[in-house]
Amino acid sequence: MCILKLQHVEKIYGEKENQVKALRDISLQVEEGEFTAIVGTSGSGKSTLLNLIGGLDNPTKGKIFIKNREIGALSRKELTIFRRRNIGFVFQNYSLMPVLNVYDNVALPATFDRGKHLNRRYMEELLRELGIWEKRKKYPHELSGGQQQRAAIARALVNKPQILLCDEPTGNLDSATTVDVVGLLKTSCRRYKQTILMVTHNEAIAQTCDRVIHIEDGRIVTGKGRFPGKGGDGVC
Amino acid sequence: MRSIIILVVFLCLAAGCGMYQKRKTYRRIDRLLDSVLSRETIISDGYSDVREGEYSALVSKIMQIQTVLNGHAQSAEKEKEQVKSLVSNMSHQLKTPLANLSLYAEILGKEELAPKQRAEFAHKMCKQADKLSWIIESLSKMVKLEQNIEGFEARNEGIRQTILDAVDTVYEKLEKKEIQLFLEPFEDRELYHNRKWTAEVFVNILENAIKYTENGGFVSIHVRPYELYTEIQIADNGKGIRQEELTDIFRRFYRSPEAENIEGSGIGLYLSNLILEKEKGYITAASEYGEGSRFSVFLQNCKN
Repeated sequence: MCILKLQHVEKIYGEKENQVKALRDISLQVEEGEFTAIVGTSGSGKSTLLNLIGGLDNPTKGKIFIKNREIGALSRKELTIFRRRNIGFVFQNYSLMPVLNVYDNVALPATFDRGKHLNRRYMEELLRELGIWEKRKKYPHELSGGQQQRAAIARALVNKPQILLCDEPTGNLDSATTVDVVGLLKTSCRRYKQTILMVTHNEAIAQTCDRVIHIEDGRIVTGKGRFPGKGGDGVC
Repeated sequence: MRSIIILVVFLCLAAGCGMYQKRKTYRRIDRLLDSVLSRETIISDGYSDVREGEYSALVSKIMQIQTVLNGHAQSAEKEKEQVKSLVSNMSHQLKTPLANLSLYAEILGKEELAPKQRAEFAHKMCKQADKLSWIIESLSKMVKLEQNIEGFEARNEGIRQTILDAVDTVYEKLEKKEIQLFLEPFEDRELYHNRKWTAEVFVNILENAIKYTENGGFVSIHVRPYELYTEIQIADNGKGIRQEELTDIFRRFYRSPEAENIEGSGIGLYLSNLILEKEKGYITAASEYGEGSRFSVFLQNCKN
């Protein structure tokens, strides 16, 4: 089943002479349960694409459908709620709240909808799964990069979203930690049949995905098996 | 006195109001569940799933359940088709060696055959029989996959014995093709896995390595620990896999067009992937076409 559909999406930043075409005429479909990697050199528009899909930004032209719903037609408030319930985000810089401990950071998105009814059993299971249960009382600055990213993944998964968007999730990590993070993304997302879109420039990681989309100069390149940028040494 | 009466009236009103609200919510949920039961697709127009509040969250969740269930139904349908085509494919593959066998048997039945020719045909018969037994073997593998894969349990066990079990199984084949096996020394580790099924995974990968490597090649096994996972890497210097096929090889019944003439069913790696999924591990492949392939199995470290 098609969970995500983009129709002729275009994104232009700036005005008149300063115009930058970040994305030009992007059309693509993602099936449910697919683990897709988006690869491209820096400045090719891959992060912009992810932000548009996540509803963090609006396309200049074209339409984006998630679960057959056009997200451009939603009001700001509706979009926020839709995003909270259907989309999980993992960023390169983790974006954890520095004043909350790991447990509260992960629980945060879940508390918006349910108030006090937090499913503690699920929380424990999730944190154990990601290997950060022992660190739950620690604050982000007390953790290693890999642990912080794992906490961020737990936070993205806590609402059991159908789509998980990852923007260079291993960009700040060394190759050994990358193994752990990619593995967790792969394994923990199979459970709820989640669809993952991951931006990366690491060739080795991209190869572990079901599908690879290449972007160059804001366009999807259809040549198969080409990996721009330097990859790791095959750790993944 | 009067204030008490007012208080009582107020309390009664509040209780009534609460009960009314409760009934109303109950009725709304009941209606929602009714439409789920009658297999209507919950559409977002009637029941908003993007509003603040618990009811809307509930609607959103039900919609999610519906899509997941639909997805399951669709993939089951697709699987059925694939199995059908595989069965017809297999039975087709069975036909040729069977026909050959009966032909050779007929030739051997004639008496005027020279002993040399006789031996040749006997040899041919053996080959066909091997082919048949291989086809049966892969069919039984598939049955295994359909039946027990849900049932097995994983626990923390030392990985060394599992690897040795697998190597033991393929040892004869290694000898036969004179392929050198290099097992890098490593410390035994407790990993979350099921010995029997994980050995099956390693056997699958090793068999592939042997199958696609020339006589006199080498196969190596390395074990590398990480914080959460341990990697068991099996590398060979065989023919390798084309870049664009690397993600396809884990698909069910996928055969590379180049390997069409080599025996295989396209089940091994799919089965391996499925087994590892159950063990919360995963498998990746890297390859240089013409140079060799590296398969890495990742299993979770024992959590204390």
